[in-house]
Amino acid sequence: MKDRIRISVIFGIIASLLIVSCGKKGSDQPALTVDKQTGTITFLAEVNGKYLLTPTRHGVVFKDGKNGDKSIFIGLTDHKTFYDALIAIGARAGNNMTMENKETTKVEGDLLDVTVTWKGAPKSYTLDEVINDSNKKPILMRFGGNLEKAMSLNTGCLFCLDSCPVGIVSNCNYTFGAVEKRKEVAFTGNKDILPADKTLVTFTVKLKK
Amino acid sequence: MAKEYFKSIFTGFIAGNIIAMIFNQWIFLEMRVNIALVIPLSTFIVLVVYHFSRIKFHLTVIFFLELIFGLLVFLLYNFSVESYRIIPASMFREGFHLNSLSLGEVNAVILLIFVIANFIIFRDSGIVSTWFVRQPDES
Repeated sequence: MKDRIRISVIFGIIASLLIVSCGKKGSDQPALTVDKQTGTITFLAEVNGKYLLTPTRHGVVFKDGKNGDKSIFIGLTDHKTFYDALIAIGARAGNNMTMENKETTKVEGDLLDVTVTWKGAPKSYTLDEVINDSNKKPILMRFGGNLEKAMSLNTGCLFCLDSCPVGIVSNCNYTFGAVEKRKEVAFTGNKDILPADKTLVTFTVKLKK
Repeated sequence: MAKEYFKSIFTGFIAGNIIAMIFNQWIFLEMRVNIALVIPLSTFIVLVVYHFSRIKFHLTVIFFLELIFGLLVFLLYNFSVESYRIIPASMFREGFHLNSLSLGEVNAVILLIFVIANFIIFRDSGIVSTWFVRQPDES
């Protein structure tokens, strides 16, 4: 009898946590804003603590996309809105990546300047500071485009860490497969700089001059 | 009887965690599937196996599974003590789709599960009772 009570208590606690987790509210800030005058996009994301230790090839992915929990940052804006925002600030998409050439081609398109900050951060950090590249190469983000494939596959990928035929923006240092297949590089979040898991961060994206 | 069911659930849970952690090392797979689903799956399978076979889960097996789990967290993630704070919680969160909980909150749940489970399972083994449960006066 006592065992049954204890087991019921455990399941009760787990059920309560599930209910609490379902009822949690998100941020009141808009998920993405575009300032056409300054050519700046700002969007919100959350830190995913898992990838401070586990390697990944996903930088930022929309929370409701298929890869929504596979990235260092979980984006609160979707890939279509992000693509439109980049077009609105005058960025040109490369659209040179295909499923056939992905392992031999590096992403093209306008080079972007990406910074990230959060409440209590001493400054805005560059992607190089918050994401560790095992080869220590500076991350070079280009507007790959790929809207059609992004919409049909619904992966939710905003920033990929190697050249990707699906992600809206990709790191042009590596071709597809560098992380998973050929193990040329490993990317993890920088646990010495990034805030705790689930902390809301703000990305700022603009064209690199 | 309820305790045996509980032992089977906990054994499946720990076994699932071990399997998930090993497969999590395979980045290609990790990027494509939710490996942590193996945790609820393994828990359910072991529970069903127990229900139909009434197989006994020896305390030594449970103890060594817990030991292997604890060691793997350390060994598979660059001997980093921080991995205890991140890896089991992130697996649990993914496996049970508790995506709106932070790792800190999930860690509290895991800690609670481990403390209560170990107390229930090992209570009559002589280990827990010697330390925590007041023994009847023999005199």
